[in-house]
Amino acid sequence: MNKIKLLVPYVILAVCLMMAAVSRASAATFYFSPVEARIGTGGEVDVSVFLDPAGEHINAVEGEVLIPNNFVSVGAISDGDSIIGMWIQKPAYKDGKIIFSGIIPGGFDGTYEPLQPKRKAGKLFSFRVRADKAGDAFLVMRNVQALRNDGFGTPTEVSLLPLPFEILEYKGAQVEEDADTVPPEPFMPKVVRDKDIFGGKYFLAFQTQDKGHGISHYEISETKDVWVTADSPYVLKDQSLQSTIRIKAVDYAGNERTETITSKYSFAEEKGRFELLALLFLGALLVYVFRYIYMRRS
Amino acid sequence: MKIFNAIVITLIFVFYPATILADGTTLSVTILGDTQCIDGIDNDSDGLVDYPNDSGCSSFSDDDETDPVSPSPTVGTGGGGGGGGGGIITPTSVIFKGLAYPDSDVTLFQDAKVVATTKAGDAAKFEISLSGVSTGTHTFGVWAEDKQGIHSIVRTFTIAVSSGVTTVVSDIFLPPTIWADKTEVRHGDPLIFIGYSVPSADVALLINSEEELVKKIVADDAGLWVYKFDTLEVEYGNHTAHTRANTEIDISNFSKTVNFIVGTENVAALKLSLKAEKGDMNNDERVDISDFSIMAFWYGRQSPPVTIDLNDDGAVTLTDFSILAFYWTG
Repeated sequence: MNKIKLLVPYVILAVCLMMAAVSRASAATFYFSPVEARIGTGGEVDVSVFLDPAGEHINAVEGEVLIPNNFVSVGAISDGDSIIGMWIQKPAYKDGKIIFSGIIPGGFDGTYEPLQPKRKAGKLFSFRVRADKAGDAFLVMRNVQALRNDGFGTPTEVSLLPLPFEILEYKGAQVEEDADTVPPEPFMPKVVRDKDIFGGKYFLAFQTQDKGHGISHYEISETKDVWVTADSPYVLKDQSLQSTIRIKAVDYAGNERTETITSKYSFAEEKGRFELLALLFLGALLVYVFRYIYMRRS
Repeated sequence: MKIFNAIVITLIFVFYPATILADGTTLSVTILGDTQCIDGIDNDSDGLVDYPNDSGCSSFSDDDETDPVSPSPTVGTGGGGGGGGGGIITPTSVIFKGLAYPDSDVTLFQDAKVVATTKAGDAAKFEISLSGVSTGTHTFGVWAEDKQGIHSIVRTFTIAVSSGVTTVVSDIFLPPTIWADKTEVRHGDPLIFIGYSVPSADVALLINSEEELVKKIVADDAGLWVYKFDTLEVEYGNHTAHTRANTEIDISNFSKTVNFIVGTENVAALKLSLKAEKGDMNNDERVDISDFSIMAFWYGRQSPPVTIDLNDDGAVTLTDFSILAFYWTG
């Protein structure tokens, strides 16, 4: 009888694992990496949130990561090397949770790696966790949605795996930063105007990715050497579009990528000047040809 | 002898076997050079050989197989990776090859922005080569616009690009384009479906009714396929149609879906050219970051305009963004 009692927890665990396996086989799975952590107080660990589409073709996700802030606190949040193409709400910590939402234009059905026959999960974002107090804690996700790339935004079933955290009474290690010298990816900011927003004023639309530590912030310059920190969409100060606009993406390692939009009017002026020069040249050529013909006849 | 070895090593091209993906597309890689992480030798004697099996290798071009010192002993199973070092500088590129439609415009976007366009040839073949792609995970989307201006579905590939590696995505076979001449058709009147595929391809037109109807058409030498559907074959009500194509060697995914109503009157489709069916809020015939920004402005706000509320539920939610992402052109 005692032997049977001893087996009960293992049977329950096996059933749970089987149920999780069945669930993962039929639902898009959101999980953390590492899948568990043992850490000393004061120590840090980088945690990534992954999406395993499990055969689904997904193009939009949103959700929350609940932080047990009586045991841990959240440090830097990074979207470096994320599969998310456009963030609706970039992952940010507020009131004990990290909220995120974004889209993958064209959809995501797994990451292809050369020589690997199976597609892999894709990283959404990562964040640093600091252990503040000894004890057992869990990171969990809630209000998570994954929508199919079917033109209708049909929700797909999701499976959410928690991250158990064991915080022990010893001095934990800090995370060592990897060197990151690669700037953010090139991007194409656009000047847009739409009657339905900002009272029809011109605004800038921009967003890029960073394959290293992630995008820290953007800066915009409409006047030479004057930069302001800004987010997209950004209403332009110069609605006459006479200024040259520069947009700088800065990653968490301080690497920068700057893109420039040349003034609409200066471009038009240049084009106008070119056309005028071309006309003058043609005129001069015609005068020379007529003069040549006239001289030959006489 | 050293010079000879150096020349041999420099000239070595290592062709790794191709991976056949689920839909028949082929993913293969070519690595230039000869480093510890592709030489087939267990250089650090840890029982693991080369990238990606040996954790000391961060990429094929990594020239040091030695395992990194674990940055923190506190992390449990999973995660990890990184490390390595050294490495040689070799070009990193991604090549896309496949079939679209004769003389169609093929567009490639990378991480949501257009990075290349090309014209498919008479036989519908296209090839796009991207060089200087940064190491990391990138999502690429390929789509085409046929001679009538009808857009294909977008085929996406999320690829972990390795330094010094040329990744080749070949055998891409875009599904046929599809368009119907009416949005509503009187029961008994014909409904014309047209589109493009590969010349002489067998096109299957699938009409979803109570029972799915399958019609077989052969595309002509210009890739054009046309089918005159007798609506007496289906009941009154809402229906959908989509296609797929096959050649002697390959079969495509399914195309976009066309919705139509069999009712009591004929309502002509507005135009043949469907440059942006949904999501083009600023009417520039593209669905891109401009439209995303307009939608993002209305996210969580009351009473969005009908042109922005794509599923017409009175609010801009994740569902509207999903529809936008489906119609994305870059």
